[in-house]
Amino acid sequence: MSIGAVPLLEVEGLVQRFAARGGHRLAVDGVSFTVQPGETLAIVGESGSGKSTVARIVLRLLDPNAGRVVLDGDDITRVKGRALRRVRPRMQIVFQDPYSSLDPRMTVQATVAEPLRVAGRRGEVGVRVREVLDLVGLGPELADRYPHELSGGQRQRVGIARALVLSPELLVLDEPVSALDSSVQAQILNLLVDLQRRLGLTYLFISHDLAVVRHVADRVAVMHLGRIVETAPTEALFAAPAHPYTQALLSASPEPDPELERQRRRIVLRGDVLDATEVTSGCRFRSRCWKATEECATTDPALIVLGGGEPSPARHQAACFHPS
Amino acid sequence: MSMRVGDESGRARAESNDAGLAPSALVPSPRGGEWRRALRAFRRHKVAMVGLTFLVFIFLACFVGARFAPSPTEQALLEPTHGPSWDHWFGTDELSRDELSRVLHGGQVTLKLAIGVAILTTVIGVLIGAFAGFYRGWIDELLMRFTDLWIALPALPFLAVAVSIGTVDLGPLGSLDLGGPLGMTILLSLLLWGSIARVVRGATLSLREREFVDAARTIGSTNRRIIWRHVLPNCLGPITVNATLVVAEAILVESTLSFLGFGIQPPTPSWGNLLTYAISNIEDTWWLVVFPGAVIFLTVLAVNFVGDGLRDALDPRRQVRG
Amino acid sequence: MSAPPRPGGRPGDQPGADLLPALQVTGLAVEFPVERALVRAVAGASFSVMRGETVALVGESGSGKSVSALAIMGLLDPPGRVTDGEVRIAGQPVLGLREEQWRTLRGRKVAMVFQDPMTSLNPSHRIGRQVAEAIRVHDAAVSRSDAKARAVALLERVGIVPAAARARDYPHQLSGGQRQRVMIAMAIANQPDLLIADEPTTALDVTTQAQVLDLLRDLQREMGLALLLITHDLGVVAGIADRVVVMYAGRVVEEGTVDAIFRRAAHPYTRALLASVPRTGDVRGALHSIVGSPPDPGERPPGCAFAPRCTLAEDRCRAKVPDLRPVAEYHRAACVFGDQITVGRLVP
Repeated sequence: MSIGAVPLLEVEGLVQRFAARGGHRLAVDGVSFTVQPGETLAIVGESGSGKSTVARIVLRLLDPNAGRVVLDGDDITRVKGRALRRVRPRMQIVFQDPYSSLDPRMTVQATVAEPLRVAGRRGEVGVRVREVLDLVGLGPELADRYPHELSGGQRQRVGIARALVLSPELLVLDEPVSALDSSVQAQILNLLVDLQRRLGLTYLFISHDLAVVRHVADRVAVMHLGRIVETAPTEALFAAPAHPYTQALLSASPEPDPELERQRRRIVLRGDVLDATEVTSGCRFRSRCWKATEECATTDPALIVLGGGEPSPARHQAACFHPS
Repeated sequence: MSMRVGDESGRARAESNDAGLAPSALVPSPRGGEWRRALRAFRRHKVAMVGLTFLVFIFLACFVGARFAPSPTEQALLEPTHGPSWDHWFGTDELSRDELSRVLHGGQVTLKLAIGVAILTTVIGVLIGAFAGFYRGWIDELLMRFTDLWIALPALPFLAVAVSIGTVDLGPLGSLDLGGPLGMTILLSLLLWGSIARVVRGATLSLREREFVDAARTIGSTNRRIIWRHVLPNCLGPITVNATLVVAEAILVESTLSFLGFGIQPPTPSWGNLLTYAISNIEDTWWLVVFPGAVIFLTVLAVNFVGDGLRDALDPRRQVRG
Repeated sequence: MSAPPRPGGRPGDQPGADLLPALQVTGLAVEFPVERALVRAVAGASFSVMRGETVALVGESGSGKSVSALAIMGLLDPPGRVTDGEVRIAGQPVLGLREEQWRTLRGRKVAMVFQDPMTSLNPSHRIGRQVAEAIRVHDAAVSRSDAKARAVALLERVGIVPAAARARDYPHQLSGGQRQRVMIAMAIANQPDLLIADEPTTALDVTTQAQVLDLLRDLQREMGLALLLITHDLGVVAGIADRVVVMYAGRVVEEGTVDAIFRRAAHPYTRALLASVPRTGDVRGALHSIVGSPPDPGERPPGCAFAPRCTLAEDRCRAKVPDLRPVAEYHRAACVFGDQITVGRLVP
C-alpha cells in the first residue's frame, strides 16, 4: 500500500435518498473515502448504516443523488450505456448470499463463463474458466454442477471465480462470509487474502463483523446511519477506538472466550437504531450516546483528525465532539 | 430498485430454505439439472401420469386414428340415424354421418386450436409480462392497464362481432376467415393472454431483485440479455403450468362458443359445434351429446391433471438445498 | 449425565429442589426419506437441560441441531419423522403426542423463540393483541382486560416502552430487535419451564443482539427458566451458556461446561472450530481453517464423521463411530483421543 500514489477508488460526497413512508430516507449522507491500489478498505456498520448502498453506488448499480465516484482517475459517476459497459470489467462484486447470487439454472461453467461472453471474449472461455476455477480452489470436475449441488463454501468460491474472470482491479466484497458456516468462513477469508496478494487486487470489504474485518483490512471506516463516523488504520481502530459508536460496536461483539465475556464491562446501548427519516439535526448517534451534550444535538460533527494535522487516509479520524 | 438494508439477515436467509421452518442442508438434492429433477417428480405424480396417458391416447386417436375411421362427411343414407353399433361406435348423427369419426376430426380442429392458442398466448403474455415486470415504472403501468383491458373484454360480444365480420382482407397476407380455425385461434389468444402476462410479470418482479441479476449487471449484461438469459429461464415453471391451463381453457371456450354458434362454423367439425344440433334433440339422440361431451370433459380433466403434476414438479419449494 | 454445579453466582437455581431436568433427550434419531434413500438428519443425540441453566446446542449446517429442536417441539414436518429415542419435557414424554396434546404443552411448559420474528408474528394483528392471545390460549378464564393488562406488563418487562402505546403497533412498525422482544414476551407469558431459542439473535445487529441476550439472561435469572439456545455463534455461546453441547453430522460429539469446552476442548472438531473463529483480539493474519466441509446428511462416512477432516484420524476412527465417553468430570467427547486432547497431550 502506497500512500501518496493515485488512489484506485475515490468516492466524494455520496448522497443517496430513498423514498419512504412520509417523505424520504437518507441512506447515504455525504460519504467520502479513498482506496489505494492493493489495499483493503473495510466499511463496517450495522443494518441501516448504508454500507451496502455505498457498495452499490460504487459499482454503478445505483445512481447517487449527489457525489462522485472516481475509478483510477476516471469519473464514472454518470457514465451510461457503452461507456459504462467498458468500465464494468474493472470492478466486480462478490455477494453475500452464495445461493441467490448464482443463477440456479446455470452450471458453474456457464456462470463463470458468462462475463466473458458478455464482454465478447468467447474464445477465451475454455482456458480462462479453468484457470480461474483453479485459482479459487475448485476442481474442474465441478464445472458441470448446478448451484444446488454445491456446498455454501463452494458456491461462494464460484461467486469469487466469476468476479475474477475479467481480471478486475477493484473487488467489492459485500459480506462475503457472513452467510457461511464458521469453519468455512476461515477458508474463504484465507482464500481472499491469498488472492489479493497473488493478483494485486484492491478490496472494498463490507462487513458487520469486526472480528472478520480485523483479519483482512488495512484500514477501516465505520458507518452509522449514512455517515462515516470513524476511519483509521486497522490496528489503530482496534487499539484505541475514538468514536462512542465504534466503542459500543466493539463492546457488543461477542468473543468466543467465556472468561473474557464474564469480565468485560459491556456498553449496552439504550434504545434502538434511529429510523433514518427521523434525524433532523446534529449527530445521529446522540439518542443512544452516553456522552451526548447540547452541542451534539445542534451541530453535525465533521470528521476531525485525532492529534491534529492534515487529513489523510492513514490518519485516525472521528466525527465526534468528544472522541476518546 | 430496492435496497437490501437487512443484510443482517443474510445468514438467516442462506441457511433456511424456502419452506421456512424446515432446516437447511437437511437433504441432499439429486444430481442433474432442473428439468431432470422435475421430470422425475412428475413421473411420480400418479394422477398426472394418468392424465398424460389419456392425452397421448386422445392425440393419437384424433390425428392418427382418424385416418382409419369412416369419413366424417360420408352419409350412410341407407341407414337411419342410430345409436352406438358395431359399425358406428358412437352412432350416427342426424345426417347419418359416423359420429366417432366426426368426434375424431373435430378433435383435430379443437386440439390444434387449443395448442395454437397456448403458444400464441405464451408468446404475447411473456413479452408483455417480462417487459412490464423488469422495467417497472410507467412501462409497467401502461402494459398492465393494457392487459386489464383485454382481460375485461367480454368474450361473447367480442367474438360475436368478430365472427359477424366474417372474412377479413389482410392485403399481402391474404384473407383471414375470422370464423375459421386460424381466425378463432387468434381471437381466443387475444382473450386469454392476460393471465400469462400477469404470472410472468409477477415472477419477473421477484426475480429481478435476486442477486444474480445484480451480478449480471455488474459484468455488463444488457437488460435484454438479462431478461433472456436469466429472468425468463427461471420463469419457465410458472409459464409451463399456465400454458397447460390455457390449453384446457381454450378447449372449453372453443367448445362453448362453437356450440353457441359463435366459434368454428360448420361444416368444419369441432367438438363444440358437434353439440349444437344435438342438444335440442337430446331425448332422441342422446349419444350425440354424451359421447362428444364425455370426450371434452375427460380431455379437459386430463389437461388439468397434467397441469397439477407440472405445478408440483416445478414447485421451487421442493428444491431443497444441499 | 447430571449437570455440574453452575459457575459462580447465578441466583435462581433452586438447589436440590429441581433435580428433574426441564428437558431430557435420549438417543434421538430423525430420518427423512429422500428419493429412494433414508437420510438420518439426527443419529442418536442425548442431552438435558435443568431449570435455571442455559445449554447451548452448537453446530454448523448439517449438524442436526435445528432438526433436533423441531423434533423436541413436535414441529417436525412429514415426511421427516423421529425414528428412535425419547424426549421428556418436565418429566413428560412428548414424542408421538397428538396435536391437541401438544397444544396444552406449547406455551405452557415449553415455549420457542425463532430466528425470524417476522414470519412468526402475524403481520395483521397488533402486537399487544398477539401477546394477549398467547395468554388467553392457555387460560380461557382470563378476561380480555386482564389479558391486555398482563400483555402490557410483559411488553414493559421485555423493554418495549412505552408499553401501553406500543402495544397498539403492528409488527412491521417495529425494528428486528423489538420484534424479537415481542416474541420473547409471548414465549414467557405463561411462565414455561423450558424456553427453546433457535438462533434468536442471528438476524440481528450486533448491538441489538447484545441487548436481546441480556434480556434472555435476566429473564432466566428471574424466572428460573431452562434455556436451550441453538446457535452457530461461539461468541454468543461464550457469553450466555452454562453448558455446551456440540453437534456434528447428526451426533453429539462433545458436551461439557462452557469453560471446559472453550479452554479444554476434547474433540478435534471442537478444537478446530474454536481455532477458526476470527476474534477481535486477534492480530491480522491467516486463520486456522479446517480442510473440507461438513458432510451432506446423506453422504456420511462410516465411522467417525469428522475423520476425513481430522489430522489424528486412524483406522479405528474410520471403522466405527466413537462413543461419547467421559474425558473429565462433567465433560464427554466422542473421540478415542478425547482424554489426551483435553489435557493438551495431543494436539489435533
